[in-house]
Amino acid sequence: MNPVPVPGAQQARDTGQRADDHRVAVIGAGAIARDHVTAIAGVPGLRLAHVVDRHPERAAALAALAEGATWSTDPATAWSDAVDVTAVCTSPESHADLGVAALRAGRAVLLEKPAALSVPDTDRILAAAKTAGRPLLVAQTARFQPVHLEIARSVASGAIGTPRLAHLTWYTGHVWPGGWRGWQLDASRSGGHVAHNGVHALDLLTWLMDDEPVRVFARPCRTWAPGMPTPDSFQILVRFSRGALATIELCYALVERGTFVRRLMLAGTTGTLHHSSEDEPRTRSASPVAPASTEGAMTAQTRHLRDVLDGVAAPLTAPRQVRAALAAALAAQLSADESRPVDVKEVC
Amino acid sequence: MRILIASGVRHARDYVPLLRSLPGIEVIGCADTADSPFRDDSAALAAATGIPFLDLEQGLASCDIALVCSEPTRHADLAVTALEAGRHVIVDKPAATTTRDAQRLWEAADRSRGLLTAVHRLHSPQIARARRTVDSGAIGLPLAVDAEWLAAGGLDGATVERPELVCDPALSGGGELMNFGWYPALAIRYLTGLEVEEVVAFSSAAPHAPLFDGPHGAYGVEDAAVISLRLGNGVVATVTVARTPAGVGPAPVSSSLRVLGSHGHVLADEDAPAVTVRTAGGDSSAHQVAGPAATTALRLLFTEFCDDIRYGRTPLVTAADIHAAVAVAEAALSSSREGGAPVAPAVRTAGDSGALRRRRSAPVCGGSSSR
Repeated sequence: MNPVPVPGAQQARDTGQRADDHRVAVIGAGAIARDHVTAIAGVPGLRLAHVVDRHPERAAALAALAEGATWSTDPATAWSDAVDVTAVCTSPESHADLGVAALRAGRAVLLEKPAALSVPDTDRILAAAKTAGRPLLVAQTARFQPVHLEIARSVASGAIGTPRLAHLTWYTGHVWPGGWRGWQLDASRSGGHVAHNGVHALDLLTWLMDDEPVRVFARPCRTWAPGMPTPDSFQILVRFSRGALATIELCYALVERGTFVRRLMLAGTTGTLHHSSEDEPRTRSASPVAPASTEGAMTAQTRHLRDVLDGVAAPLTAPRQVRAALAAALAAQLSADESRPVDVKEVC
Repeated sequence: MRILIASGVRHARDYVPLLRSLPGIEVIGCADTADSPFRDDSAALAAATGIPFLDLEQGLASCDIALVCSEPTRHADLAVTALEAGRHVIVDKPAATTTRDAQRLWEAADRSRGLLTAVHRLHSPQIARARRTVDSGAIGLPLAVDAEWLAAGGLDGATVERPELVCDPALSGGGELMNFGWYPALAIRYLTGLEVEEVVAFSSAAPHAPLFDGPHGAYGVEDAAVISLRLGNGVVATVTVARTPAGVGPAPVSSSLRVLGSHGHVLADEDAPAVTVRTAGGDSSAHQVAGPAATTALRLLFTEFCDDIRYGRTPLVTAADIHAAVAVAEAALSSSREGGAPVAPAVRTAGDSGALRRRRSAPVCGGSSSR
């Protein structure tokens, strides 16, 4: 029996689902997968159709968030005929094999970062996408943060001429969920902190500067959690192929979880761009809401994925950029591990 | 205090009016050596500012403080001469362009009854505030520093008298890394109290091309550099220095610092705080609260140094600090020439073991927080 209608309540809820929605399967049911599922729910034209995780209860719990979504522990079900796009949200060591399998099965792929843990594996993924003729979007979500989209527009408009010097500082109050179980603490699964989180900044600068890193030096630093088996913070010096330079300062060390300091200085041949999160109104204590300059990136990225699937946009992460950023991140990890500058070609 | 401008090549045109505005300070003239390649510049400065142009010996005989404002590669020679004449000395930045010269300065200061310091920005309100925050314990142990020093243009004569004074290594000792690396090197030392143990630098010096369309390339020197430092106790820092076509803030030179600690962080921006004014015509301008940080820093440097002399205090920046900052810039130049190879900054090498002991026990950039 239907409940008695309450004034103002919807009696027949429109789920918004359409027959031609792009059906998304998510592999992995961790924190980032949950973020993707939330974003998918907010973008018309996409529908979470299926969840895969090796833990049945986690897969079921995530699938339960979307009406009609199914779940499985079998990865192959993530590129079945009932799926249009496979979102690979597992830990990094499995990205290459899962991404290649989905592409070979003819699915479009949203691939969490880092794309892979080696350049040959990255090449394998890029080749699979090219052969299959299917879209591949690497989830370099930082590109979709409002401030970076604005900076990219400014650079593209010629506002600063050719970018030649970048100084990027990102400090975040972050604690990895899961404590000591986190894959982020295991370099064999994550590629190391410099690789798996450094790729965000290296990808952003590769994109904004339209150039590829050729030499890097990275120095790790242990701050709020010196007992972790991986440095919580690090810096990277970068030289690009056309001579441009960059300083990257990444820190997960702010004391309060959820706090941010974000700054980017980009000096070009005719002007300088600068953004600092210190300049925008926000709460002064730890906040569940990100600064306006960074909020909403996951939804923007997901909307872009929909546009890619609709054939009205090319993936923002161009293959050469995917390769360049990942190679630079791996070179930076090697530099941090061996305390020496590293030519990016050394890891290619 | 009677101040002599010992060679008036760099920055003296800004320093003289500032010095004259300070109570108790008299600028007695500008002097230069007979063989100075910029003797005409010194004479011109004297004429432009209405002060006597003196013979160096004559000027040193009648001053309390010699403010050395020559081209950087002659700083050490003039400062040593003044110290040997028993005068107190302020050397423009960078106080020396090699650690060999910095060591000569240090040894001359050890022998002289005069006090030695150099032009720095540690009295800049934001840097001083960051130091107070560190000293308060609010951020715990400082663990990482991120420093940026950018000059906006200025080689057209606006802020640099002649381009070759920062571009010709024979006059400047290097490019912008030597010109500006001094400031963040001192600031990081001031904030952490630690020696730098290793320097890695990438720069735009030859064989690389300059990043921007300035004269640096003609001299093979850098217009930009990115630097990584490892200090004692595992503390790290980065330095980004450049002369860019446009700046970050309204001042000719913008600098900002971020210090990460074990229990918090502190940010410093020399352009802040500021009041923004926007006119009906659409123009806008920013006015720094209490005036430009660079001017405040210099004013305090001059007045505090006079008090250091009067009351027998140790200057905020000593010969040891000068040597350390020059050693970082020198190591960065060396590293950048070797593709970023890690380089240990030079330490004082003289056989004067007493001086070496003094250096080890010397306070690092105002070791006492009581100033």
